Parts: sequence; structure tokens; C-alpha cells
Amino acid sequence: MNSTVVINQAASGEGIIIVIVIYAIIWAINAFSKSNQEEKIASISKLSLEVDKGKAPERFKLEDVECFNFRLKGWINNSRQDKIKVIIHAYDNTNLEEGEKQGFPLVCTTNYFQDEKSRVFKIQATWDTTADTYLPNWYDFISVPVDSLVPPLKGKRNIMFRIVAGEPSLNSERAFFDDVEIKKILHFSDCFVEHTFKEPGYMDTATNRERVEELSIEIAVAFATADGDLQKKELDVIKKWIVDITSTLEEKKSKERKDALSTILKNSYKDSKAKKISVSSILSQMNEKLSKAQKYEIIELLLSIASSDNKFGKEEDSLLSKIVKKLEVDEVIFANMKNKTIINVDEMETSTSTSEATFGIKEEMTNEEKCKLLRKHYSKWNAQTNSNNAKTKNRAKEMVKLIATLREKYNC
Amino acid sequence: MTKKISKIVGIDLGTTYSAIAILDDLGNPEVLPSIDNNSRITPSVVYFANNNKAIVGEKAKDAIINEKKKVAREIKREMENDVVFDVSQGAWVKSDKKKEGTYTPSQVSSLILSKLKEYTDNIDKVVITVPAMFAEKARSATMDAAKLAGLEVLELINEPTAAILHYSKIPGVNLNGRVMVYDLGGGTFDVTIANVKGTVINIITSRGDKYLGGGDFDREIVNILNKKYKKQKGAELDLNEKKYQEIAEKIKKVLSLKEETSEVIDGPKGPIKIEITRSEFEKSIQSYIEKTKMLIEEALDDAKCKANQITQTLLVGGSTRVPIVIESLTKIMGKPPVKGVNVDEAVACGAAIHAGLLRKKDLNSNQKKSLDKVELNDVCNYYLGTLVVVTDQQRNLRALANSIIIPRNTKLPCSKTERYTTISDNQEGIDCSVTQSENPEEDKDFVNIIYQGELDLPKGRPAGQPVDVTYSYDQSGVIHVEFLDVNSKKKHEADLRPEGSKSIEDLKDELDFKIE
Repeated sequence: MNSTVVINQAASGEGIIIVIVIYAIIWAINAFSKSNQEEKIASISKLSLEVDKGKAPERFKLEDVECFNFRLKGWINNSRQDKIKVIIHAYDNTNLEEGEKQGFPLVCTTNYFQDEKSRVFKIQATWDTTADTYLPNWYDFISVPVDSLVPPLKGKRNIMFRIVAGEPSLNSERAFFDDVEIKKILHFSDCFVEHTFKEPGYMDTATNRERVEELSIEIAVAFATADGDLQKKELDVIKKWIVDITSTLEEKKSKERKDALSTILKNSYKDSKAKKISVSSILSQMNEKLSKAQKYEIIELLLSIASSDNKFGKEEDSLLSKIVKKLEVDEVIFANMKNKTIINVDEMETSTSTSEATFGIKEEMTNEEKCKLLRKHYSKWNAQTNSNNAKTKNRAKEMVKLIATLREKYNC
Repeated sequence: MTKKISKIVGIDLGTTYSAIAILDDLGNPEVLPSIDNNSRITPSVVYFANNNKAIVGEKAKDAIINEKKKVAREIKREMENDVVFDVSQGAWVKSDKKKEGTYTPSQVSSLILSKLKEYTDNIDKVVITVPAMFAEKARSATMDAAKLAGLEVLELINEPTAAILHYSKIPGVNLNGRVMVYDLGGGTFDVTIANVKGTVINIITSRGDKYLGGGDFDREIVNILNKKYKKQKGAELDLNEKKYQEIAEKIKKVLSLKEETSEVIDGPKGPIKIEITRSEFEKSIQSYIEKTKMLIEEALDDAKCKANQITQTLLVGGSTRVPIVIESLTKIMGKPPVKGVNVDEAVACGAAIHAGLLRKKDLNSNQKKSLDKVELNDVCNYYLGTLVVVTDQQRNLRALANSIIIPRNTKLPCSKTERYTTISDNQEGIDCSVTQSENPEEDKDFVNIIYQGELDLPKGRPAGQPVDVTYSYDQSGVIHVEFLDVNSKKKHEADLRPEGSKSIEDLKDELDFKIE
């Protein structure tokens, strides 16, 4: 209604003045809005990455695991297309040489967060976007278990996490962007986090490889001779392991390494007979030098030795449990590895006392926790009484009986 | 002239006892009595007598005393095994070679089914019950047994499911809410939870143990007898002697009513009178009770409910007569189970009702009216998956693992598709494996492979080609599997159904018995 009045009034001279005043007001309002918009734009931060260590947001369902939690804020737009790709890598920037901007990339043990062609840590995602898309508040992007990242070297490291956002075709190879790819980048942000890695890094692993092999033979011999002498079948398992690990080397090196390890095997056996082998000393060296993956390889070797005579004895079970505890590996993974061995042996010595270790029952647990854990094992083994494999089925029946007896003991 | 419609029949093929029921003209299930002794349950015992005669039932049980090697019992427990009953040894032995006087579990079971078939005329199509956790191989063997007995199986139905059907139709029971079936028979234990509103039944979950039943309780009593005999006479009883199992069963039944009992036991050093108390017996079966407790806990977890949310607990199976069983169940559930129903007959009756539901067009108007409002919705009892190549997270190695496509307890019918990709350049084919497991297993060593096929792929393509795997599971237990190479549209399909694995000729081989 007001604007109609203005137009009608514009027909007279008086009206012209009014129109000028109104235009002046509109101009003033526009000018104010523009400057306000500029201010707003200036106040919107560019794409920012924030990484902290701790509990993951609930939606990621990573309970009880320390994680690197990635959060994003700011521009996440692409003015040319309706999609944008984000890539995150991590670099070890500890003690960089002068002029160096980024160190060696970290690798990852989880294939969800790996480069397509290597184990290099990489998170990537392609999102729908528009020319003016931005995240006004910190957005929980993803969480990655701290233990799944492996730096080049162990110890206190200064990690640089870098997020790069760009064209949907943007790609990196082994954490590096070549000149063609760099042109596709629209935004990037870095975030630095310090973390002390207890496990050896991938460069440590390469450096320690030979010593690790020697330690593996020493622990294997100590384990095999724990119940008396080294049986032929047990020896065969260790020999086969030596052949396997040297088979990837070139012929000459393979023979040299095989000879060297055979000497270690003989010496370890002699030391074992002379009671000169200290299991605890071997284990502490192993904890110093072995990566988690290598520890599982050793456990697999020990399980092969334990089952080489198609029997899983109480003594072996008890010693293995102690070794596993010292090596501080994941008990669930160990339990799965052991279950696979147990189902394939003809005979298994069981008793309520040793089987508590078999089922991962610890003294410090409450009765309720013990009962819950036993039921979990029951569920696993009871299902196996349906196995098509007769050996598995019989073993499952024994395990089910044992679990029920233990539940009785704990008044479940 | 119109063809006479065959009877609507359900059979409970039990470990220790079997029963057959028909739908009467009003649509109510009726258990048929034995033609030998009028008993409504028949011992699942077969006596291989001379002159190619097979005696089934009570008389076969009697033969245990004098002809123990020729008597086969607990056949159901052997249905999934590659064994034969060897009449010369009187035992189930590995079936390496065909030998005269040896019979497969299917063949022996078929004799029991043939016997039950004699209780009435005009039977051709039946519903047979099996334990909820019966393996695929055992279901297949049950189908073979029926085929051999000249019966067409309309469907195999899980025992607890059949029992709920029966309970839902009993006037006065009024099922409503979350209902639990506690089925402790002679050889197996099943626990099933269902949402029930009148006669509309939605199964939520089933758990079970195929090695838990009254037969195991009997063996514990034999152990007690042996210990006492040894203490007094210094000699041990032969624990495999079937006659001791029979005595034990008798003792168990008495101890369900009295606090103590005694029996004269004839052992290698002569007969002695042995006394046994209920508390001794109850102590000996404590680990079995513990197993039932664990399975109830599992079923409650699966159903995402607590014991106090279960409105009614229904009992099935003869072993639920043991007092400690009821006491333990009442303690767990916080209230006593529903009583007053014949626990030996519920399963057969439910099977007959289910047969009626499957043969609706053959029902008369009264039967139709009776079953009109009955509705049963079942779930998938197992995880169904396929084998895929994955990277071992810890060791960074490629390994074969199980990938689940249809989770356990998915409501039937269902259809699910998962996409996978080829792993190498120029990959020429994929293995099409179908796996079955009770738990969500990733490890291939902990699953059963129930089908294997191959899909040839076009040559010369890079890795990463999408392959869609679709499993469709219908109400009658048929699983349709399809492995589709998305880009070339080439596919491998198969229908997996619980059907007999052998031809009737193979089944009949060396089985030429006259049933008595």
C-alpha cells in the first residue's frame, strides 16, 4: 500500500522529493547490508581441521578405544561443481631437517583407512556441496583408533594431520599430491598432535627384522622344550617357519639367512637344555622390538608348535597364556586364534583350573563378569556343535561341558 | 467319483518318544494312540529282529534286555552324522563302507515313521517337527527318512514353534504378549521367544542345544549307580549297557515324584540294591541345568527383553517333569510356567495344526473356521552369508572370511542384497559359497558351507567389478541365492531347500523290513 502511495505522489514536485528521500533510505539500507555481508564473509573461517585424542563421539561406536577424533569447520564449497572430495593424511614431522615441511607418512593397520595401493594412512570422502556450503560449527567427521596408526619410528612423535579438499577427481598416492593434483585443491588445513607410540614404527620393524627372527626362534624353542624335550614334530614346525620366512629373499641371501637361523635354532636348543634360556628376558626384548603384527605371528607359531602332536596339553596352554599376557596383545584376537587351533586338534587336555585361562577368566573379575564371559564362550562353542566337521563338533561338545561346569563353580 | 482327501497330519519325531496327530473334523488336533498298546506316545526305539522284521516302540524297548545289540535308540542324535547302526556291534559306527547289517540314521528313522503311519489310514502328506537348532544335514536326513516311509513332507517345522501353535489354540490359555517356550525333550533342548496375540504368532528367536535332554539325565543316573556299585562291589558297571539306561529312566521318573528310590542292579559281581536320592540326582544334572540357563539368557538377549517381560512360559517335552527343571525355570523367570497341558503331545498337535495351515484348500468348513484366525510368522534361525576375501587387519594379509547377508532372526520372507567387488585384474570367476552359522562369525572355520557354485566372469577387466549377492528366504525354508556380475549381467542362481539328499533307490538299499 505504501509503495502505491509513493508512485502516485511522484507525479507532483513534492512527490519527487519524497521519492529521492525514499531512494536514499533504500541505498543506505543496501549499503549497510553489503558491509554486513562482507563482515560475515570475513568472519567465516576457511576449512579448518582439529584433531584431538580421546573418546570417540558415541555415533562412531568405538567404545573404550582411544581415538584421534577429526573435526571440521568452515568452507567446504566448490564453486565449479556440486561435489567436493576431502582427503586426510598424517605425517611424522618430528625433528624435521631445516627447510623440510613434511616428514614421512604414517601407515595404518586398518584397511578402511589405507591408501588404495599401500598401507599409507588415508581417509577420503566425496560430498555433495554447493558454491556456498560451509560448516558453521565444528563437525565430528571421523574417529580413528590411535593404535591403528603406525609412525616410522616409535616414541614421542609430532604428527601433522593434513586435510585437503578439492575437485571430485582429486587423488593422492602414498600421501603425496603431484603437480596435476595440486591444481585441483581448493582448501587445506593442518593440525599438529603429539603422541607417544609404544609399538615399534615401520622403520624400526625393518631395522629389527633379523633380531626379531632370532628372538622368535628362541621363544619357540623355549616353549617347545617347556614340557621336556624338543619333539621332532615341534622341531619340524620351527624349521618350516624358518623356510617360510626366508623364502622371499633372493636365493643366495635366503641360504645364508637359513643357515644363520639354523645355527640360532641349534644354540637355542643347547641353551634350553642347559637351562640358560630366560623366557622373561626374551619376552621383554620382544616387547621392545616387535610390532603387534609380529607378536601375533609369533603366537601363531607357538600355537602351531603346541598342536603339532595333534594334542593341546595343559602345560602348553598354561605357558602360552603367560606368554600372551606378557606380550600384551588383544585377548579377544588371541582367543580367536586359539579357538581355531583347539578345534583342529584330536585331543585337548582340559580341567577347570587351566580352562579358566582358556576362557580368559581373571581373578580380579567379579562373578557376574565371569558368568557373562562364560556365556559368550558358550554361545560360540554351542553353535559349533552343529559343525559339519566331526572334529570341530566333538571339541565343541567338550568345551560346552567345561563352560557349564565353570558356570556352576561361579554360581551363575 | 472324487478322490478322498488324505488326513491332515503332524508328526513329532522325537529322540526318545515320537507321536502322530491329525486334525479332527472340527479342526482340533488329536493324538493317535498306538495300535500295539493304545499309548499316545511311541518309544523311538527300533529292534532289528530276525526274518527282516523291524519292531518299533515298547516291544523294541523290551528287547533291550535280551537282544541289546539289535536295538537302535536315540536315532535323532545321529541324524547329522556319517554313521550307521551296526547290528553286529549294537552301536553307531562310522559309515566307511556299505556292510550288511548296517543302517543309516535316515533308514532307522524311516522305520519309526512307518510305524506311526500305521496308526491310521489315508496318510500321504505330513508336517514333521525338528529341533530349532537342527543342522541342515539333519533336516535333510529327516526328509530322506520320510521319503523312505512313503510320506511327502509339506514342511519341517521347529518343535517349539509347533508347540506355540498348539498352546495358542487351547481354550483358557489365552496367550498374550511375549511368550517363551521351554522345550526339554529326551535328547534336545530348545528355547523360543515369540510375540503372541491370541492365535497370531510372531517368532522372535530360538536358541537350542542338541545334546541336552532326558537321555543325558539318565546317563548321569547310570554314573551314580556305577559309583555306588563300585564302592560296594569293587567292580564297575558297563556304562554302555542299554539296560542300565532303561533302569535309569525308570529311576528318573520315580524321583520326579518321590524324594528317594532304590533299584536292584545286576553287575559283573552280582546284584545289589542301590538307593538313590533326588538331591543326588539333581546335583548330577546341575551342569545341564546351567546350560538351559545360558540359553534362556541368550534368547532373552536376542529378543531384547528381560525375564520379567515374558508374560507366559510354556512347557514342552517330558523332561520338564523333573522338579529341579521347573524350580530353576521359575527362579529365572520370576514366575511359574503355564501348567495343565500334556507336554508330550504339544509338539505333534502343533505340527498337525501347521499341516492344516499349509493345506487350507483341503480343509472342511469347520476346520477352516477353526484355523481361520491362526497366523504364524517365523524367522530365519541362522546367519546366512558368503565367503569373501578380506584383509587381515593385524597382519595385513589377504584371507578368506565369512560375510553375513541375512542376519539370524530376520523375519521371513526376506530378501537381502550385498555388493562386493572383484579383487584382481582379469579375474575370470568367483566362488559362490553359501554359509550358515548360529553366530555372526567372520572366521570361515566357524561356519558351515551349505552350498558351493561358480560364476564365470568376462575376461580382461580390471579389479573392482561390482558383484551383487542376493539371498531370498521364503516362509517354507527355501533359500534362493543369486550371484550377479552387475556389468555383464551374468549370474549364478540356486534354490536351496531342506530336501532329501538321496534318491529313493539309494535309501531303500539294504532296507527291506516288515514293520511290526
